[in-house]
Parts: sequence; C-alpha cells; structure tokens
Amino acid sequence: MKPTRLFASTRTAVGLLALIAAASTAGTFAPSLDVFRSAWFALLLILLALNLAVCTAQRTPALWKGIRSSGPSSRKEAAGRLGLYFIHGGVLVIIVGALIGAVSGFSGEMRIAEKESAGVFHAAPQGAARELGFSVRLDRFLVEHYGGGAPKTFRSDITFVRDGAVLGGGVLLVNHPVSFQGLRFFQASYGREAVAAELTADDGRRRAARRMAAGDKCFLPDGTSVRVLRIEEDLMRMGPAVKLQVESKEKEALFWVFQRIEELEEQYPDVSAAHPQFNPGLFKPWRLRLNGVEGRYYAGIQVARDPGAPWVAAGAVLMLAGLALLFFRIIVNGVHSSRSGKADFRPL
Amino acid sequence: MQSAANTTVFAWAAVIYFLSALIYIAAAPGKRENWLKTAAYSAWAGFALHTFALALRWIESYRMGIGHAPLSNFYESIVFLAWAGVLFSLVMERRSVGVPGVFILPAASLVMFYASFSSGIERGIQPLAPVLRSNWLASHVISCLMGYASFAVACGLGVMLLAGERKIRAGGPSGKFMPDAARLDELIYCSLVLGFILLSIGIAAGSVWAHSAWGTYWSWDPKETWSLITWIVYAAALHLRLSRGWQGKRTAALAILGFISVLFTYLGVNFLPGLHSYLN
Repeated sequence: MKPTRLFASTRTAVGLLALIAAASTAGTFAPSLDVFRSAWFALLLILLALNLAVCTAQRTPALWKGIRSSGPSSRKEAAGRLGLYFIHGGVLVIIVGALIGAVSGFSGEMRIAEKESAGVFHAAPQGAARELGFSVRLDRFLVEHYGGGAPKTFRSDITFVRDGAVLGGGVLLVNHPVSFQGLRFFQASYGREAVAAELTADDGRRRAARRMAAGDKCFLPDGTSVRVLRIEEDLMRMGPAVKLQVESKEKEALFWVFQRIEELEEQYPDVSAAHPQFNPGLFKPWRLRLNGVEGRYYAGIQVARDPGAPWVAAGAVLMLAGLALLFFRIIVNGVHSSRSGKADFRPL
Repeated sequence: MQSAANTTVFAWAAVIYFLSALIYIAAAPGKRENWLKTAAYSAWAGFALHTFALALRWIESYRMGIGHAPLSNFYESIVFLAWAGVLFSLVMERRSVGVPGVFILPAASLVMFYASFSSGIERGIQPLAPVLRSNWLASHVISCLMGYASFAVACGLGVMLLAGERKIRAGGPSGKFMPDAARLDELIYCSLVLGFILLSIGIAAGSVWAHSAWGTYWSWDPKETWSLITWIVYAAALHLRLSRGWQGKRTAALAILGFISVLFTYLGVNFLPGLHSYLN
C-alpha cells in the first residue's frame, strides 16, 4: 500500500478520531492536564486535517467525473458525493480556523467601574496585564430585573478613547457584543463595589464626621487615627459595614462597624459583648457610627480577537451544506441494507 | 413552586403513553395488526396532548410576563426529549409497523412519569437568566435534544437487534417477536444519520451563540467537549459502516456505545463544573 493511501485510509481516520476522543475525555476529567492547549493535542488535530486533505484530494477526480456525466441516477450519486466532499472539506476548514485562532487569537477580561476607564485586560484571573492600545470608558451601567427580582439583562454604555479623543462607542448587552478595531467586547458579568463610607466618631463631647474611601486615614480631635480597611455594601447579609483600624499612642483596635447596629443588637442581644470585633464602641471613649455606604456598579467585560473565527464559520456552513445534501440523497434514494456485508451507500 | 395547568396536561400525556405502551407490549409478540394499530392511535393521542401541553406551557410563560419557549430547565428538556422520541417513533411506524413503538412508548411514558411525579424536579416556569435570552436558544436546544432523541431511538433499536440475534442463535421463538434484522439495521442507520445531522446543527448553533455570549465559539467547557466526543463516536460509527461495511450487530453495538456518550453529555457533565450549568 502506498504511504499516502495508508494515511488516507478510513482505519487511520477512525484511529485519529478515537485518539482525539480519548484525549478529550481525559481533558474533561483531569483539567490539570490542560489537554486542549497542549502541543500534542494540536498535533492530533493537524494529523486529522492532513488525513482529511489527502482523502478530499483523492476524491476530487471522481467527483468531477460524476458531475460532468449526465443522467438522473449519476446526478443523484453526484449529490451524495458532493455532500461528503463538503462535509470533509468543512471539517478541514474548521480545524484550520481553530489552529489559526490558537496561534494568533487571544482573549481576556477587564473590570471597569462606572464612570471609570481601563486600557488593559488580563488573559487569566491572575495573569499579566495586556495593553489594548486605547481605553474603554464605562459611561453608564444598567441592570434590568424581572418582577420577581431575578436579573433579566444588563448593559454597559461604553466609549473608546485614545489620548482624550473619542474614537467610538457602543451599547454592550448580554448576547450583543460590540466590535472595535478588530477586537470584540462582550458583556460577561457585573457586580457592585463599595466606593466610600460616611463615618462619624463621638466621645460624648466631641464629634467628627468624614467621608472616606477604602485605604483612607483620618485623625480624630485627640490625635487618634482611623483607617478604613474595607467597605462592604452588604456584609454577610447584615447590611453595609466598614472594617476600621483605630490607633492611638497607647492602643490599637481592629473592628467592624455596621450601619444597622441597633437592629442587629435587637436581633442578637449579645453581639457586641460576644464578638468584640463587631462592637462599634470597642475603642473607648470613641464610638464610631456608619451613616451610609456609597457603591457603584462595575462591569466584567470580555475582550477577544480571533482571526480564525471566520474560517470556522465558513467551515461550519460548508459542513452543514454537505450534511443537507447527504440527507437529501438519503431521502431520495432511501437506505437498503445488502446481504453482501457491504453497505449500499459507499462514498467512493 | 406553583402548579400550573401545563404540568397536569403533561402528566395526562404520560398516562396515555403508558396505556399505549401496554397495548404495544401485548400486541408485539403475536404481531397482531389491529392491536398494533390501536397502540399507534393511542400514541398519536398522547402525542397530541403532549404537543398541546408544550404550547400551553409556552402561553402560560407569557401570561406570567416572562415569556420564553419551554426549553430552559431540566423539566422542560426531558419533556421535550420524550416528545421528540415519540415523534420519531410515529414517523418510523410508517415504514415498520410496531417495531419502534414497542420500546419507545414504554421509555417515553417512564420519562414522562419521572418528569411529572419525581420530587427532585422543579416544574415551575422560571424566568430566563440573562445569557439565555437569545434567539439561538430555541435552535440550539431543539436540534441538540432532537439529536439525542434520535440517538436514543438508535440505541433502543440496537438493543432489540442484539437481543434478537441472541434469540435466533439460542433457537428460541424469535421469529414472531423480533422484527427482521435487516429492517432494524436500516432503521438504526437512519436514526444515526438523522441524529448526527441534528447534533451537528445543534453544535453549530451553540457555537454561534457562544460567539456572541461568551466571546468565543468554543471554550472546551465539559458539555461542549462531551458533545464533540459524542460527535466523534458517531462520525467513527458512520465511517466504519460506509467504508468498512460494518452492519447489523456491529452498528447496533456502536449505536449503544454512542448513546452512553450522549447520556454523559446530557446528564453526567452536570457533575463537572462548567458554563452549561442551567439544568441544575
């Protein structure tokens, strides 16, 4: 058997398919193997693509002969053959597109808060930042809810800016991405983040009020310092809260201050005594009070570029067209099993 | 959870399928023509009720103000699977009376009883999650589920073919009960091709949807990967048949193997973390 014939044989094709299926199974059960981004998995796909290419090339002369020769039965035959030709060609183009995407495509996430801009994205949650070459500004963020309270859809109004000049913009909705300069932007997720807390401190005689962001530090009239470590809009379903680090020359304390402390004390009578870290009067003589937390939405936006995608789309269309032709052929001709051990419907 | 009229109609469809299944099982051994016809008529009646329930559920979702095609949760998906299975059975009965119905109707009634009365299933109509609000939902889910149903039919026919071969070898009275192996082989092949085409369309529709929802047409999510594995198994089965002449028992065995992969794609994958976690 000639090497090309051996390589183009069904046995080789089925063997490669079995290997790809086995590797994929391993990939779903052991994600740590990272099968789908490994070089050997790509090699299996390349081998399958070569097998398809050789098969398809070998099939071409007979296909032409079938199309040229007239007569209704040979035309029906040709439709079936053309179908198989399209299916295999389509799969080949899909694999080529997937490889192009794997080599030169990328994707990542960016998180932008309302009214803020970002010019970088991260390929992985802890990955290095990559420059977009321009920045994305989130002008407005909206969540629409169902009557029952579940989110229905969410949207980001975004503007693309470079050096202060507006380059373009668009409305990003779930399932409705925006394309810009070869990149596609998708609405992936959203959330809320606390920005600032309204705090007051009282020692019975003096009173200080401040609006503070996380990380801010201020001084009370007696020189005691208050630093905001964390701000939460809703901590453990107990409402707005801030984590404070209060420090004087003599002592230091770390505790949470809840906005609805009176309610919570009513619900859990010993909360301040049992959990000193939840006692707003822990740092005597000062008693701290949280009057409100200011929050805002942020949008999780996915950025992707995939030069292989049009290839994959074209391949899929070709493959589906081929399947449609094959189906037509079966509807017209029917299937008849033969006793000879060979199916009636042989590709070539 | 609210009990809506549609779930009651689905339960009645389950009852009619059960009656039809009993008639099929009673009629098949003797190949009694009139009984088989009665069984098929009652299957048609159940199917009509089932179709009405699907439409009713769709209408009820609009009355609730969260209108969407009934294809979004586990209950809706198994109810649709049973519907597609019965549809294929009724279509195939036109070529081979009594053969598909005798196992599809019992299976469909079991699935419908499980869907209607199992305590672990949420039967209420829920609003769609933001990402599911897409025109691709219907085409993706309908073609995938109809593909699964077609593969289920192929698997059931495969079991019948293998059981029949065993009986013939054992010299039992198989001739009466078991249909012609060549006819079964034909039906298995048709179901495999139809399932393969539907699965291909379903994967393609899902990819287009993922391209606009998740930013990539393919993300090697466990369900995607398993749908590819399933596709490969059937692709290999069709190649072995068309160019190596695998028929009969071998095709039947491949149809059963393929359906194990389908079951894992449909149900097993839910135990792995991934993007397709809507069925839970």
